[in-house]
Amino acid sequence: MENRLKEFRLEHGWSQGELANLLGVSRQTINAVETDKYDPSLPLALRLAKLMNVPVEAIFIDHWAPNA
Amino acid sequence: MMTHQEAGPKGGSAEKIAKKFLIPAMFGGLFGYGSARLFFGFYGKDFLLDWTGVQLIALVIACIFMLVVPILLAMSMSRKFFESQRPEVEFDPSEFEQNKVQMRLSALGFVAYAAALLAMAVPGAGDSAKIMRFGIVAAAMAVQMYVNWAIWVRSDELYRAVIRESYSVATVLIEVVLFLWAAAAILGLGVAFDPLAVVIMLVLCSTVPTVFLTIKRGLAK
Repeated sequence: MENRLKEFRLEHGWSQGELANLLGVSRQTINAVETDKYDPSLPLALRLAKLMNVPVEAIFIDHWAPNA
Repeated sequence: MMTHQEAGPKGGSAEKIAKKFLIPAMFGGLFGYGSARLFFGFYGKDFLLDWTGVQLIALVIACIFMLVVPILLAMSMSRKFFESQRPEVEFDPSEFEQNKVQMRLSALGFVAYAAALLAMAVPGAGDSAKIMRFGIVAAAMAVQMYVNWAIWVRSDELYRAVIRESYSVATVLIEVVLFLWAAAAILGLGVAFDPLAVVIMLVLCSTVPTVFLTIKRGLAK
């Protein structure tokens, strides 16, 4: 899933490692999310949004729309 | 913070080629020569001539696993070597500490797999030798179970996702191969159902998806 995690992380001045430590995950997890190689679990996505002080849909962009 | 990108390329292309191919090839050659001398020393010059194709494949897989072990141990002991093997972007100093136990556990897992394969593949006579080899396989499987558990409890959600996905793919692969193989053997289509070949198939069906997904999820180059 497309996301703006790197943008928000850099806005806060965190390295991948620092953000990973704040969330209790590995640096590779943050890297895999940023590079679209892995979609995080719902709890991790919510925690990312809380840390960044934005709604979760500001970080993760879903282009799906229901059929009218 | 120092990143790989900031550090810039190290050395010229000749040095890169040497690091990527020549040095591993040299170690591989030395390992192969040493292993061959060891086997020939134990079993004599003609020992491989008696081996079946399946036994030889088991030997090759065991040797590949044993080659991975020193690489994992070197990465777990040298921060510099570990850093050089990481894929792109930022390197976090705590990453080495988090990963070194996992790498040592993985090395132990590869040793257990190699020992089990060799204990089953290497020909040997006598009841005591058979009991000893069965003991080696049983011990190796116990170690393997411990390694799987220890890696799982130390993993975060990305690693656990890779483990889950790998074993899901492996289960489907094993099911398909095993059904077709069994059918061919039962129906007498000239295919033997050799237990060692089944073990090799299981090892390959679980190892190949793990390697593929580890790279796909960005955990390795």
